[in-house]
Amino acid sequence: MAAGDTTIISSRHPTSMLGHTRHPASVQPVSSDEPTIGFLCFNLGEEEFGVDLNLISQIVQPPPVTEVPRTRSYFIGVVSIRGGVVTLVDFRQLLGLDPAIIDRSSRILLYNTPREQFGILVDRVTLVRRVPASTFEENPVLEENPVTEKVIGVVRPDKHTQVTIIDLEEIMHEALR
Amino acid sequence: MNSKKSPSPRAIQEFLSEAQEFVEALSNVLMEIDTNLRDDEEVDPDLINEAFRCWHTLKGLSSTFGAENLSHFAHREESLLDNIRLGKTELNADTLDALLSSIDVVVQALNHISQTGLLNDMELEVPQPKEAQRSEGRPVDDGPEVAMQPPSGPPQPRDVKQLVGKDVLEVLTEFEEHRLVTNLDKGRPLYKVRASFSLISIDTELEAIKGALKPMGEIITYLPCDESDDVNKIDIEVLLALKKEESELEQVSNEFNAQLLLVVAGAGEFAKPEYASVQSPSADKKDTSPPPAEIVEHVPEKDSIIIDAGPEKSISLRSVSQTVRVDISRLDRLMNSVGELGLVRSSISKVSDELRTVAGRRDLAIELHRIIRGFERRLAEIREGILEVRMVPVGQMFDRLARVIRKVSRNLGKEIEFIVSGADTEVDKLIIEELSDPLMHIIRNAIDHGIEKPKDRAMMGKPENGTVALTAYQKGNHVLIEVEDDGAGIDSEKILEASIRSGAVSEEQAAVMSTRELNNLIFIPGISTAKVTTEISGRGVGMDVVKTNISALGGIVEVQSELGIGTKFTITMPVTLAITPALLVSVAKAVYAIPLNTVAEAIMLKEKDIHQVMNTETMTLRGQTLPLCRLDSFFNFYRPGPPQPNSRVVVAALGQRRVGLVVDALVGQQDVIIKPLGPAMAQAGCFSGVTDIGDQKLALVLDTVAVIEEFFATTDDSSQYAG
Repeated sequence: MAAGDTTIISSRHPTSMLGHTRHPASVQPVSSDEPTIGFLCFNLGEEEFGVDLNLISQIVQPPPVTEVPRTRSYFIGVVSIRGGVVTLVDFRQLLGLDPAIIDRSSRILLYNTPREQFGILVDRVTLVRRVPASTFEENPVLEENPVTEKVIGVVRPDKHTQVTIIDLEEIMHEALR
Repeated sequence: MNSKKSPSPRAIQEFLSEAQEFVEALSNVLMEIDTNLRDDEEVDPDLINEAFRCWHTLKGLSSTFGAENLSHFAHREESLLDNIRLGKTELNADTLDALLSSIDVVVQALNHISQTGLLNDMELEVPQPKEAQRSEGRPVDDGPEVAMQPPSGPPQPRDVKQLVGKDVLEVLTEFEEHRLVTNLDKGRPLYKVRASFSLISIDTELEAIKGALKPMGEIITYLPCDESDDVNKIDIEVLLALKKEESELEQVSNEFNAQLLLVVAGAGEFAKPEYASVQSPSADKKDTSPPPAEIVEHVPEKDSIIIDAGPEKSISLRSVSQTVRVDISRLDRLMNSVGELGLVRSSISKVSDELRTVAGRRDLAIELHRIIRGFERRLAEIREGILEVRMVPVGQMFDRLARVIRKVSRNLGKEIEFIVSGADTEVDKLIIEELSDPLMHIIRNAIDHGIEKPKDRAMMGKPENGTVALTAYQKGNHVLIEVEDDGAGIDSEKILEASIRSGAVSEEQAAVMSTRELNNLIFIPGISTAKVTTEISGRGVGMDVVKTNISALGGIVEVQSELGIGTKFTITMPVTLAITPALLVSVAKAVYAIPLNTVAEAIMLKEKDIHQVMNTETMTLRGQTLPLCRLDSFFNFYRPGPPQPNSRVVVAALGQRRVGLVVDALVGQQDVIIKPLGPAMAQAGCFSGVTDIGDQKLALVLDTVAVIEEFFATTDDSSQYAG
């Protein structure tokens, strides 16, 4: 994939075109009658997180980053995506982890607000997971870490995998305060 | 026309845009009338005619598009102006107020239509002059000439017919007759100027002679006469009331090979100066219509509008101007495309460079290079063209301000002399729009708090009329706009007191402040709302907002003031915002763009030239001390070790302030399109945006104004108030 190539997620093709899918076999077959929820899942380090699929408009490979000095550390800089200026957010730092290192597996999730276009920098995108609404565990009890407060739930697509679902809107809202 | 159907949004847009032109034209005309009135000059009847025509056009336009309410409104205004031009209604400052308010009514109506898309949704009320009801028994003063009212005594009979001849009178319209009588009353001699025109070129020749005669006096009318022998020629008689010397008129008529005929001789033979009676003069009409009494009501007695058949009076439906109104966002899009084309160009250049290294393809490479050069030139032309289109004269804004000044000053009972110069200076449309509110605020302040009451002025030996001067001129890449008043000036002591009380300025800082710094205190937010509020009263926005708005456009505002003498605000703005030439520099391996309009020069930095002055690095440049701002530390980059060798100093200059920005290297020069940063990134506070520099890379554009202000605020104790 050439730098800057974009992948548009479509709910009809939950697993298509996502670069570096780590567990292609883990897509869950879902019975058609039960309502499902879609999450875009990604890794920060070893842990897998998920955000509401509807919030993300595109996934792109990081183009060259222009650092903007004198801003909060998790606002790394700006990137140019299709002629638009996108504010790049280091999601690792925002969630209290070590700063991100951009490498070949890094991806930017585009998240638009009325006033600003944000690019959420993550270590690796895993896949779009669709789970039956009933398997979504709300407000789980988790071990204390910086992210805990922003967790809205957990899904377990299979018995080896646990995905922490976080509230992207709330996190970005707080980041801007 | 589909006048009854509800028109399409597009049609409404068209209507609004044409109506807008009308509003501007009309307000210009009325402001000129205002100038005439205030100078106690005779109001040029052409101006009243022009205003009449404006309303007439709006009436037609409105009914074409189905805006019946507006059309009726225009009809009533038109009738009022008809009465004014026929001398039936006095034209004075109050009438003019009403006329000007009616523009506001139209503007409101247009806004309403624009917002709702409904054409007849609102009630329009005709503004009445304050004195309308009382003016009946008013004594006649020797005011403007059109204002003449018949005195209450019995009308003085006078046989105009005998003087001018029945043949002339019969063909005159009511308005022309009124003008004729008015001129005769002034004791002006009446001439007929007869000239012969070829049928082929009569259009242009007639205009030429009218143009030449206009300065001589008032052209009452012109009539063809059928006495010419030559079938290819036509004779025209111009009826002229002479204001100048006869010799001058002779000169003009000789130029055009015209015959001169004196119809009525001047003052000595005719009217006495105090002859103020205006009588419906035509004997033929006298029998059928009552003499025009003191009709001051705005609603005319008759509903029909007099549009005379004469060629000059026919109103064309073709729009008056040759201009096209364009939504500025379309120009922005166009400009963006041009910017993208610039990127395409650099990509092609790269291919061309690569082609050169291919053996046997040199000829192609050279050819391609030539084509690219041509492309580049065209691109530059397009860019310049778009920029030119965006430029509008500041006069547009000045006209609007003139109306505000008139309103405010009349409300406050102050007479203001408004002097405008440099109205043709051109500035980017966007800047004009953004600038009008701050300017309005400055001017209101000047009138409200600067200019003293006429009585107080007289006591101080100043002329009773205050003066507000608005001046615009271009200086390099900047436009300077000055607002100067001859009012009371800023009482810096009071402001300083308030500043100290509010904690914005410490006593120590206060002790070392220069006058300029003191005056600039009015721009601090807390201050204008503190104690000074009593003087700079409830305006809502303070001077701090003025400063913020101007800074947001990359401009600066400075104030000079002398107590008792006056205040002068100077606003320095870039000529354009859309695209700007910039110097690309590198700092810590990243590229930054510095707008060239803020760069005076770039020089080498020799470490040995650097001196420390009060914690600030400085160097001496041509005998002047230049403070240095190391951009790497300004950006909070931590770079251990010795300073970079071969650093450059970019001398940034804004107004009177200069700072040497220390950068690692100069990269080049490029025209850049500035794209804004989102709020999260704007927190940096020292960048006005970013720009594409090719290869998907962005460069931050330095907000030189912010950098300079912050630099002075943090390095120099005495100027901590700045920024």
